[in-house]
Order: sequence, then C-alpha cells, then structure tokens
Amino acid sequence: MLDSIVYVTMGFIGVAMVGTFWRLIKGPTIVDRVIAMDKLFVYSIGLILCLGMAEHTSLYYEAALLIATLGFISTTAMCKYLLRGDIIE
Amino acid sequence: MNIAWIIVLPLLGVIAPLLANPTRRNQVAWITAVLPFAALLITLYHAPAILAGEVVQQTWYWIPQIGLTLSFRMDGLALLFTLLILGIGLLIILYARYYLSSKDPMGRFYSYLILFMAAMLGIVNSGNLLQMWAFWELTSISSFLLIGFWSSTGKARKGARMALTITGAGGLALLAGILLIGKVVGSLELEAVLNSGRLLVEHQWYPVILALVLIGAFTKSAQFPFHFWLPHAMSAPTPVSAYLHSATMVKAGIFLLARMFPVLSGHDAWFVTVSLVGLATLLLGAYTALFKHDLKGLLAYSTISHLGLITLLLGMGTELAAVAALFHIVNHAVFKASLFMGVGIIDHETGTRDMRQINGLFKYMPHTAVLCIVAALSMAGVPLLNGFLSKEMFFAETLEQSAIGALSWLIPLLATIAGALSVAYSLRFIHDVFFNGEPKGLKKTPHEPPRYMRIPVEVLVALCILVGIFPALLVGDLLKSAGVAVLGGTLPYIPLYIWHGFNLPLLMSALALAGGIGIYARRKVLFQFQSHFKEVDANERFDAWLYQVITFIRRIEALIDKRSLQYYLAWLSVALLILLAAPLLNLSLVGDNVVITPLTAEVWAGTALIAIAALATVVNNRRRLFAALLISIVGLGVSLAFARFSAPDLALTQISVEVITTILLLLALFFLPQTTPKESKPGRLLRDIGLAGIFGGIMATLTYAMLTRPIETISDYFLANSKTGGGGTNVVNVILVDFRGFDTFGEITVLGIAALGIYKLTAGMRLFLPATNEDGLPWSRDKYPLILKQVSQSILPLALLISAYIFLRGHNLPGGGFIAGLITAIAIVQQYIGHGNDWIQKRFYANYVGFIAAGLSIALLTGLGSWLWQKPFLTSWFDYFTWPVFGKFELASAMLFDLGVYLTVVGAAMLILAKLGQLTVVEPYSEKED
Amino acid sequence: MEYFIAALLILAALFFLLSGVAIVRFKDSYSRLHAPTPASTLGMGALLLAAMLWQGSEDTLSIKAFLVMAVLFVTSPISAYMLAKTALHLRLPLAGGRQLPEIYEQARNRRNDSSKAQEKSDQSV
Repeated sequence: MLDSIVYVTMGFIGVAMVGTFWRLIKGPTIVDRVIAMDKLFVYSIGLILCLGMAEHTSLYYEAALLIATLGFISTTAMCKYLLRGDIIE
Repeated sequence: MNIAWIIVLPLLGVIAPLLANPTRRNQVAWITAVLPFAALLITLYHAPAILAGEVVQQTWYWIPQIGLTLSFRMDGLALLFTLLILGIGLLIILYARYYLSSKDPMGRFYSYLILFMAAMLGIVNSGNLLQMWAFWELTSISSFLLIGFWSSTGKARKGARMALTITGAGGLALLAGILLIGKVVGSLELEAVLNSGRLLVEHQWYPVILALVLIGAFTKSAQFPFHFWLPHAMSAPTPVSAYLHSATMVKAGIFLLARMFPVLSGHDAWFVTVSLVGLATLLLGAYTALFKHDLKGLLAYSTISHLGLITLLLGMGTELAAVAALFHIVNHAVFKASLFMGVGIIDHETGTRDMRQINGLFKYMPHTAVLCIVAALSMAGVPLLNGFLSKEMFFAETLEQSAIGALSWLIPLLATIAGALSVAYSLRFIHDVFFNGEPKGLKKTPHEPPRYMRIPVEVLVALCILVGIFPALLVGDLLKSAGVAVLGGTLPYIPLYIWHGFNLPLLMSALALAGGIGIYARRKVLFQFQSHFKEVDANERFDAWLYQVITFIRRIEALIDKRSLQYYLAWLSVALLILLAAPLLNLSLVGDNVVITPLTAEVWAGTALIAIAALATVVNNRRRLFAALLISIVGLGVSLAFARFSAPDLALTQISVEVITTILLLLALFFLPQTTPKESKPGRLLRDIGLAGIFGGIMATLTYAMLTRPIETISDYFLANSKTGGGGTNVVNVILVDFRGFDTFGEITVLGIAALGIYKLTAGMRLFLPATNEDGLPWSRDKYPLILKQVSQSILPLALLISAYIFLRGHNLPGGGFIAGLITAIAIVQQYIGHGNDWIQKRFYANYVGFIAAGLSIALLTGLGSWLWQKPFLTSWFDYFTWPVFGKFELASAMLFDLGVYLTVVGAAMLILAKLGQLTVVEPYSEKED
Repeated sequence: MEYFIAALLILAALFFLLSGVAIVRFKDSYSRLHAPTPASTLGMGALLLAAMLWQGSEDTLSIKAFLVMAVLFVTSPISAYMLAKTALHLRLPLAGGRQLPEIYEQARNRRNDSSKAQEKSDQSV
C-alpha cells in the first residue's frame, strides 16, 4: 500500500513542480522567478526522498541534504545579486 | 657505464651552479665543472671501444608502435663531437670564472651554459631523429638565453632574438624534413635511417627532404644567405661566443650535414647546393672579415668563412674531402676557441674591442700576445700548426673534385683567393692589435690577465702546435673512426703528415700566404674601395622584414579573427560538421535486439521540463539573471534525472557543479555591461538557429545510436574488479582514483593550472561598480543582513561535516574527493557572501594557491610512493585492519590520492571565486547618502 | 504504524500541491512568497517524518533524514526573508498595482544596528 501512496505523493509533487515551473517562465518579476527556483529546489528534495522510499534505499539522503544546502546558497546568492549587485564584497 | 649519463649528467648539472653560494665564485665554477667532467670521464671510458669501430647504443622504448623511443647512440662522429663539446666546454667554464664581473649573476650564466652543453651532447648522441630534433631546438632556446645574457642592453636582446628566429625557423624546416625521412624510411631510428642506403636519394621526395634538411643545417651553421645572425650574436659575453662559435652551436649544422652524409649525399643536387653555398659563404665571410674594426666582428666573419669551408668540403663528394671536413672541424674549434678567449682577455684588460684603438699590446701583455699570434697563424694556415694541415687537405681536394661540372676549375682558384683573404685578416689581427704603434685613447693601462684565465688559451694553443706537428699520433684514430661513421665501411688512406713534397697544394698555400701579405700591405686601397659601399645593418633589415611579416600576419588574422566568441564557436561547429559528415553518413542507427527502457510519464514530464528550461535559456539569453536562473534549473533537472536512473554520484556532482557555476555566473555577469546589446539581425539569427539545430540533431542521433547499440562495455570489467583490484565498492570512485588514476592526476593538474591562470590574469585588475542597478535603483544599504550572516555561519560546520562524510565514504559509497571538494568550496563561498571579504580575511588566512600545491603534491607523492615497492606509478594499495574499538576498517593509498584531489578542487574553486569577488574597489554607492 | 505513515505521506502530498497551487494562483509576489513557503516546509516536514518512520520500520533509523529536516527548517525562512527583502528593495507593487512607499523607505533605510556594532568590533579585532 505504502509504495503506491509514495507514487501518488510523487505525482502531487510533480504537479506542483509543473505549476512552479510555469511561474518561473511566466514571471512577471524577477523575484517571482527566484521564488519559483527556490521552491523547485525544495520539491526536488521531496521527489528524491520519495524516490529513496520507493526504492527502499537510504543512498539518496545525502543528495537531499546537499540540494537543501545548495538551494539555500543559490537563493541567497541571487538575492544578494539583486540587492547589492556584487555578491562577494 | 651507460652512455645516457653523458647527456643526463650535464642535464642534472643545470641546477648545480644555482645551488652553490653565489658569492663564492670559485665554488660556483668548481661545482659547475664536476658533472661535465664526470661525463667526459665516461666518454673516455667508452672511447677505446668506439675508436675500435664499435657503436655504443642504449635504447628505452616508450611508445615503440609509433616510433617514440629514447635512444642514445655513440659512434666515431658522435665521439669526436662529444670530446670537443665537453673538452672546450670545461675550458670555457674555467675561463668564464675570470671573465664575468662580480656584478653578473654567475650561477645563472653557468646554468644556461650547461643547459646548452647538454643540448649539444643530446644532438650528437641521439639515436632517434625526433629526439635529436628536440635537443636541436633546445640549443636554439638555450643559445637565446646565452646570447641575451646581458639582457639590459638592446643589442644583446636583438641579437638573441635574431639568432632564435633564424635557427628556430630552420629547426621547423628540419622537423618537416625529419618527418619526411621517417615516412620514407619507415623509422626514425638513426640506425635504420643510416642503413637505408640509397633509398632516400632515389625517392621522389628527395628534393624536398634535401631542401628542408639543408635549410635546418644552413641556418644553424650561419651559411649564406642565413649568415647574418652570427655577427649579431657577438653581443653575447665572450665565453659564450668562444663556445657557441667554435665547437658547438654552429657546428651543430655541420654535424647534421656529416650525419646525413651517408644517406643524403650521392646526388648532384647535394653536391651543387652544398658546395656552392659553402663556397659563397667561404668567400663572403673571408672578405667581410677583413673590414671589421671590431675584434669579435672579425672573428665572427672568419667563423662564417671557415664554416663555409667545411660545408664546401662536405659538398665536394670525395671521400677524402669528408675526412678533411672532419679534421677542419676539430682544428677550427681549437684555434677559434683560443682566439675568442684571447680577444676576451684583450677586451677585459683594455675595455674595448676596436682595432683602431688597440695597438701595440705586445709590450703590455707579451704572454697573451704570443698565444694569440700562434692561434691566428694557425687560422691563417701557416705550416707546423694544425690549421695548415686541414687547409692543405682542402686545397688538395679542390683539385680533385668536379662538383660544378665544367666550371669546377674555378673552385681551386677561389679557394686560393679565400686562403689569401684569410691570411690577410689574420695578419691584420696580429699586426693591428699587438704591434703598429701605441694604443690610442684607452681608459686603463692594459696588463696580463689573472694566471688562470690564460690556462684555457694555453691548453688550446698547445693543442694547435701539437696537432700541427704530430697529427697522426693525436687525432689519427679519432678521424678514422669518425670517417667510418660518415662514409660507411670503406675509408681511404688519410695522409696525416706535414710534408707531402713539392706539389700543387703547397704552391696554392704559398700563393695564399704571399697574396695575403700583399693584400694586407695594400689594405688602404681595399678599404678605400670598400668605403664606397653603404654598410648594411642586418639588424635594421631584419627588423624591417620582421615588421613586414608581422603586419602581413596581422592582416590575415584580422580577416579570420573577429574577436567574437560567437564567431569562434560558429567556425568550430562548421569545422566539426565537415569532419563528422562522412562518418555520420555511414552510421547505422539501431543495433539488433536491444531492449529499450520503456518511457514512463514521469520521464516524459521531466524531459519536457528540462527541454523547455533549456529552450527558455536560449530565448532569454539577453536577460542575464533569468538565463542564469534557468540554467541552474536545467542542472537541477539533470541531476534529478541522474538520481532517477541510479547514478547518485553523478547527481551529487552535477548539483554541486551547478551551484558553483551559478555563483560564478553571478560574479561575472555583474562586470558585464548592464545595458542590453542590440538584437541580432534575422539573417544571423537564422544561421545560428540552423547551426545549433543541426548540431543538436547530430548529438541526439549519436546518443541514440550509442544507446541502442549492443556494445560490450568495459563497465563489466570495472564492476568485477573494483572490489578486488581497488578495494572499494563504489566503482565510480575506484575508477577515478585507481584504475584511471593517472587521468585524474592530469585533470587536477589542469584544474590547478586553470585556476592559477585566472588568478594571474585578473591580478591587478580593478573594476568599478555602477552605483545603481540597470533600472536606476540604488543598491540596498544593508551589506550583510544579520540573519543571513548568522545562518551562513551555522551552515558552514554542517556543510563541512557533509563533505567530510562524503569524502570518507567515497571509496565504497557515492562520494569522493571531487564532490567533497566542491561542497567545501561552496560552503566557504557562502561565508564570503554572508560576511564579505574583510571579515573572512581577518579570521581565516587562506592561501588557496597553497591548497592547490599541497593537493597536487600529495597526489604526486602518493603516485610516486608506489616506486618504493618497485611498482609502476600510481599502483594502489589497500588492506584491512582491525582496531580494538572501531572494528575492521580499510586503509587504501587511493584515499590519500583522493585527499590530493579534494585539496586541489577546494583550492582551485576558491582561488577563482574569491579572486573574482575581490575585483571591485569602489563602493557600490557613496556613503554621502546616509 | 503503516496507516500513520500513509497519512503523513498524503498530508505531505497535499501540502506540496497546496504550495504549488498558491504559487500559480496568487496575484502578487508577496503572496506568492508568503503562501508556498510554510506550506512546502510543512510538506517537507511531513515527508521526512514519514521517511524516518519508514526507514525506522525497516530497522535503519536514519539521522540523515533528521539532518535534512533541520537544514530545511533553518534555511527556508531565511530564503523567504531574503526574497521578501529583495522584493521590497525592488519596490514591487501589491496586487492591483498598489504601492507601499513608506514600507519601501523603511526597508531601504533599515540597517542593522547590531551589524554596524559588529563591524566596529571587527575593526577592533
């Protein structure tokens, strides 16, 4: 039962991703796009965790952890760029 | 003793003088001399066997399939040259000790000199033509360094550049010639080439090969019309001139002619070209030498003339002529080296080399004067000296030859004239310098040089006399074995004695002597005549010519190179398309019986997302930030795809690289102009879309073809052997650090070099920041938001923990040094973003260059470590241990190698990112606004 | 237990869907930031809890899942904060084009006093 629920969850996340991706393309402001990117990173973590559950392995946790950290760093770098221009000053 | 040591010892000796204490000049000289002396001893050890006719060889195979070997070969010819190079080289070392002033960097001078010596030894002892060529080019480069040693003077720099240009260009021609020889003979090994008989001469490419090889030899040996570089090389320190223009550099060209004599001569083209060029050089050099007021200029042109004489002898084609050429090589080296050294002493003691100022020096330095006079008489070819013997042989041979058909009678006549000229300029040297009144306008009173400075000259002059009186005893065997090497088995009887009876050559000598004295006595008339000609400054002509060449090439470059990356990319793509067209047309698409993974909905959706994001990137390429954002989404999608298809390693790497790229893009984007450039014209757009479309199509086709092909991959081998062979269960990592460790080592080296390159290129670069963003909005005033600061800081230990974890488990589970390095770098970059440069620099002194150095050294030492156990480079080792508390664990040398990878990656990434972040100097907005 | 995990998973799925819908449907950047951030964070929380329990039931309770959760819970508010700051800095209007001049000015002039103090202490280091 659980396996099929995991797939359902993945489907839901997929739908959310498609919507977010639409927002990324649509905009209209650059902040919207960065928000969408940030969320896409989060959804990817969700997907990867589900994948790990579906395949009954714990190998994907590092990837999830890494994406979480790196997504944060990407987002802040983008914000810093918009706020200050020079991200390392 | 292996003959390779004869080359290797001097090569090692390049660093020896630099290790010595530069203030202890004697010590520097002694240390320099030790290794060449050892090489000389080894040569002497082998000499008896070689004189008896043996050929000593030593070959190491590198890639024998394509003819790449490291091979050394010493026969009689090589022995003769080796003795000259080492013998005169050692004397030069002693001489230079006293010649150089205390201001000159002596260690560096000796270092260049020894490098040059090693290169020369490499040329004469190479058993492989390609290897010989490499040493040949090394002589060009090291002679450049030597000629330009006093680089503060423009003359030295120009002379050095000219020598390098001419000999370097000749070297390229020679390379082409050698490659053609290799093509014809089927091997580049000297042994095979020398044994190929008349194959080369009868081949249809013979004229091309001959022309290319001769250009190489003539440029090196300063033969007409390439002779003009040699006088300008006289701006070198005199020990260098004494070495380069007597025994070595210019003799390399002669050596090449002698070496190739067995396989390239024996055709009219050879006889005519070589003899005519030699004759022209002989006359031109001798004539010009007469008018030079500069002592070294006189010697330079006399060198050109004597080289012409040797070339002429080699071009005459008779066997005895070739032997005479060899004999004259030795004689010329001996008397010319001593003359140059004598001139150096005179220059040293009087402060000038102008013969109009230096007169009557016999009174002041009688000892040196006697030495110089003997050497000059030998140059003039006066009996009882060595120069006489080879000149006599030369005269005799001019009577025997028929190189230029019916006009051959001209050669003895011209030879006699050249002999007379040679007597005249020798006389001028003797009479002007040592007699002829008193010195004029000298700054100091000349006196004898230090005792030891004269010793090299004394040794050489003694050789002049001894060889002149006992030729057969001293050089007979050497000449015989060298002659065998040049001529092959049959050797004529060599008449090595002083008195041949009254014959035609003796008459020619007498005529030359009388004529020379006559010319010198009537020199005023000649000088008068010569003064009607405008003196041509080869330097100016050369510069003008060089300028023309450069402008021409610039014009071509301007046609091809539009300084636009898009343009380069377009050309590259077109070129690739052309190259790929033929194989692509022959490609059958789908292999048989391949089970294709069924497409599922999520794969479709994911692929579509990636594709749309990629397309959107292209469409939005002018909106930079958006494009960067889309690229990072593409990367995310790809890494998800890797995860989906069970490649967690790749997923980890991809996502890390992606984020680093995004940060890099953001850093770089900011420095580009913020305004949008104008859109491309429709035609160009269409062209680009077409190119990109075709390319994408090809890549897709290739991928499809590859994926649907039932190829037996090598991955099975790796899967089967990774645990047993490399001690790890993570095949990807084992491949990286073990099976293909050498590739990885190369890659991290490239990474380190690239980072250093960026570091150096941006050094000193200062960029100004705009005060507002592109919409005219001023920047936010909050430089480092507090929350961001704190959280960035708390992310650091976590990220370091992740990277340590991923590093440690890398050998068995997804991870490894590369990913770990990237994660560490990103975590540190986040500190830069959150806190700024100053904050970091106060807390953490990070020498990223040091990181790279440490990483590469660790990787290299790990690789070299396997030599201790007599295993090849980078053989890995692993074993399992049991510790009381932790239980069983594994130690592998690959882990250490991986640490090297890790450090290099961290260092390189940080060096680039931190450096780019430090480029700005001006505050983005002025503080006045507060 | 199995039902509990199932419930968590469904909850997570719903949260994710909610956040996805929010990001598509809402009218201005502020609400598009406001709605999905907590929703997706909660969704991740539920999902990770499910994952921990699941792995736990398979006898390898993973601390890594907990780490992921910790990282996300700490970082996603900060991301949201930075994004909101950026939106205000860029003077993005509310839905319907309404501007917030005072807030923009406030946001612009706000400089962290503590950060200033820290800069000072940095200089004294």
